[in-house]
Amino acid sequence: MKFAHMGDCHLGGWRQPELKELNFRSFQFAVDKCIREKVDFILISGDLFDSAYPPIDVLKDTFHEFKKLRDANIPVFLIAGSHDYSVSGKTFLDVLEKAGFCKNVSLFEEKDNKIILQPTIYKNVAIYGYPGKKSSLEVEELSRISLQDSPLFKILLLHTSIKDAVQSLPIESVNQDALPKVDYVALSHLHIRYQKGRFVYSGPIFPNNISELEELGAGSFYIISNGQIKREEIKLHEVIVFNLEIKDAITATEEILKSLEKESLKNKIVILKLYGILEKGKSTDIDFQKIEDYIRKQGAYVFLKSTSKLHLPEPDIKIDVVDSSNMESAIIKRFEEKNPSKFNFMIPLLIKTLQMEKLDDEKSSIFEERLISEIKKILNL
Amino acid sequence: MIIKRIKLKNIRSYENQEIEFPLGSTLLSGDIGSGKSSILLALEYALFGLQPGQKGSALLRNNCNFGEVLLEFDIDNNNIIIERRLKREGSSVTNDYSAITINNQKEELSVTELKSKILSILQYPPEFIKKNNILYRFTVYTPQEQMKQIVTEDAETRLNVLRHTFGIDKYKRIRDNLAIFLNKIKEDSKLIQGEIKTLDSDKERLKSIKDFLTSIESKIKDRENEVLLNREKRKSLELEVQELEKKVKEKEVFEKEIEKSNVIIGSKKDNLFSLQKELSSLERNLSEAKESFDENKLTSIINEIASRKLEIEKLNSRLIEIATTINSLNSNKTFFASEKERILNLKICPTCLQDVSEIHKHNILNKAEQEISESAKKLEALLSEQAMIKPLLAKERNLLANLEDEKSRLEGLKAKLAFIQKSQLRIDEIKKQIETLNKDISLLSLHIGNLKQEVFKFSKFSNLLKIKQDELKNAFLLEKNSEISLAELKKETEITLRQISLLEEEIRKKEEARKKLFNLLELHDWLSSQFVNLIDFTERNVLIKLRLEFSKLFGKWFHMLMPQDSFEVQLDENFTPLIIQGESEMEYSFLSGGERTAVALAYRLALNQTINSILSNIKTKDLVILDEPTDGFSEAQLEKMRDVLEELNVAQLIIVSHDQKIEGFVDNIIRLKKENDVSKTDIGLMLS
Repeated sequence: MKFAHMGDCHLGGWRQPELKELNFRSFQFAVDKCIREKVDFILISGDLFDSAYPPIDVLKDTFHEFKKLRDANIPVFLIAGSHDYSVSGKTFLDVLEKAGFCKNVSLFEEKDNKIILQPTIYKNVAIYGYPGKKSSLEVEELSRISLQDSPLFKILLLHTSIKDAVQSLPIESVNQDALPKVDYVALSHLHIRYQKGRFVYSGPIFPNNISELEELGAGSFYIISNGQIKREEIKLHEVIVFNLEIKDAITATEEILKSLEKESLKNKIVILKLYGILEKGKSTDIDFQKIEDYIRKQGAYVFLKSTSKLHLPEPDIKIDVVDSSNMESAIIKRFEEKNPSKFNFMIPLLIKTLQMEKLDDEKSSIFEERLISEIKKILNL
Repeated sequence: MIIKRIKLKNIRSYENQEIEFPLGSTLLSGDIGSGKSSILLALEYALFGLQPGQKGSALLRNNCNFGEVLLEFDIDNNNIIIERRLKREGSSVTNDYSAITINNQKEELSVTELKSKILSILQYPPEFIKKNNILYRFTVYTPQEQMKQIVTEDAETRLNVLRHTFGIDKYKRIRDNLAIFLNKIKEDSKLIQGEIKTLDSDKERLKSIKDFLTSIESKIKDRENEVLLNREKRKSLELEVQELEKKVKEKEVFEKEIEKSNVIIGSKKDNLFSLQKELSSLERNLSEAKESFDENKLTSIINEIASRKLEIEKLNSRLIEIATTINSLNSNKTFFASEKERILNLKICPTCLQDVSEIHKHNILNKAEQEISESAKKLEALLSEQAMIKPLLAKERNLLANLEDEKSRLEGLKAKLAFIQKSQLRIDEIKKQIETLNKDISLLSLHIGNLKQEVFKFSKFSNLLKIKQDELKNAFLLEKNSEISLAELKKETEITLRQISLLEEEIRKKEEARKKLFNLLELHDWLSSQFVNLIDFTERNVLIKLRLEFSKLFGKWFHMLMPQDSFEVQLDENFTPLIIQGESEMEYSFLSGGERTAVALAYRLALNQTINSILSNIKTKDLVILDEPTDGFSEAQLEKMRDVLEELNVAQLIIVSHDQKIEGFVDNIIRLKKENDVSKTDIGLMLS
């Protein structure tokens, strides 16, 4: 018996066209590999799609892949994940299933506060599944599941977090030991590399975000052949990450370009992660267009940037007032306290006077005269 | 602001329609093109008039020559009605009439006045009068097509719009205006620097002038002492001279006395001399006069003299008679001689002019000859007599002379006798006088001798006086010179004091200018560093605060609309929405239509709230108008609109949407439809 285990495909998840495509190509790669490996069936442990209602073009391509599998007589057994789950139960997985491209194995019945999973029998395998839900709602429910037993090879598809994988992270998780005993637990949801005994997280078909690209570097799935669990890595493009601390936004562009110049970017997924507290300038002073142009010119496959960890220093003062004039007064007051000067008393009048605007039909020289005379008046010059 | 009703007359697809707006949320529902957005446009037109770039023809119903909008609303319990009319003139459509009625007080105003009035009523900051009605557009009503524009606009334009909207473009203006003023300060400072360039050298000059003054003052003291000394010296010399002059005058008195005495002596001596002379003469005469005198003799002589004088007189008369006859005889002789000559030569009678006969001639000549001879005879006799008389006469005359002398001598003797008698008396008198004179002369001589001794005694004072006078002259000169020198010094002091006062005034002015300069420079320094920092600081902090507030609200609304946590939204420093998936930023264009609408709507709502919270006094906070806010939304997203509308919690919410689902979320629905190219409400106002 040979089967594939994949999950967290998040098709339609990436918005950048290149990554959206790469995500899909990774899925396609996995499908093709399965066909080549002639697996008996495929398990998808949740989040095939990134949402319950994926965009049409994603659906179109996905259907095409599923058709290839059907043509190759490889059935697909899946469950909904936290992303393609819908409270109403209406998801596009239903459409796939109705079209005969897959089988949703989330079959259960609730009885006496127990959730009894029903197996889907394929050849000599009994496949159980329970869908992932938003906000880890499935965790509590999973503590109540049991299996309608079967003597066959038992596979349980779950889209959740297990305690051992989560470890100390503050994520609600299922105690893996409390789960019904099966021969293979096909897990998804945590985008990690994890395989302990019968507990296997598929990992995402393609990293789902920058961190995953950085940490995982590639997508993955598993092929289990006669008890042998083998991780298949999907690396269509190298990932190169530039993790740079920026203090001066003004000079940052050149600094970044210098760092980029040291590496070959060709065909790579280039990730530029900027972090730090800006002592000079602001993040919008960095010429990302120039950087992107350089990266594109170097033949990079795609360029991703992250500036969310690039911060301006904390606001100089914390102000609770929201009314603009009060806010200004409060700011000025704080400033005055920190910068005592004999001229400080003039500030409000100066600010008021300096706001003077040139009148529509006023000559510049006349305006300047008027301005100067007004200021001189208030400064008593 | 709460809208009560709007009345449209020939506006876009409306012919004549009044629509009332209740409180709460109201949906303007209808198919595309049914006239929903027209109401919003008319509302905006009523409030702010035609927008720059907006053509009246876009509002006025086709083929109509005039159109009208009447908007009634309430602000702080004041009922306000705005009326505006459009007029078609040829190809253009212009504002024809505008008026505002506040609590039944109607006022017709110009377009600009009305806008200004409305901004004031809405309590929009006056700076917004120049900024279209951008505040309204971002806080109340954003036309559908502009919703996404603000998100997709390039960062700079958006930031500028937001700066305007938040009213913080004033900081840029403050900086620009400050730069103008700082330049002015620099110019002024340079001028003052030029003015006070010589201040230090002026001070040095003042010091040296004051030193000079001190030296002059000490010189003046010396000179005053000198003048005093000289004056004293001069005065004492004057006294000395006066004394000496007195002495010299005394001497002169003596000398005059001597002179006078000499004159008296002289005169006395002359007198003496003449007396002595007279005396000797008298005495000599006296001795001569001792001859005897005979009176008879004198008398005979006097008689003799008289007879002799008579005789002489007779002789003289005879001589004169003879001489006269002689002369007459000589004349006859000469006449006849010449007559004889004439007759001899005469031929014609001069009287009768007849020839003269010889006879006649002869007769005449004979007579003449006769006459001549007779005269000669007489002449001879006379001449002999004359010769005899002349010696006689001479003799007589000598006798007379002798007699005369004798007579004189005798008369002299007679006179002398009297004279001698007188002279004797005189001599005695003279002798007495001479004695007196001699006495006087000897007394005077003695007196003169005494005087001369005195004069001699006083003669030394004259020399001394001369010396002293010279000394006094010198003393005067010295005094005058020292006084002149003192006056000069005083004059110099005066000039120096004036110079000092002028210089001190100049220095004072320059010191003041320097003070002003320091003040200016200090001010410049403060303005260009601390004040600019303050403005930057204020702007930065206001912006940070705004951005944090705005970003938070943006995230809130976005999550409300897009609850799936597939991506986050926040704002960068330029208020550009950042859509973050995982950690990476994503372009707006990668979003689906619904997501874009959600981003735009969240941005719009966040902006609305931010502005309303900042500009806390504005009077449009109670009103929000959403124009097709759900374009491209999925069913699930549409569902979320219910939460959004509830969360909005404004007194009056007007939504334009063709999405029927929204109908379930609102309090009121106004259905609109278009029939025969005319928009109208369908079943009037439907309260849910």
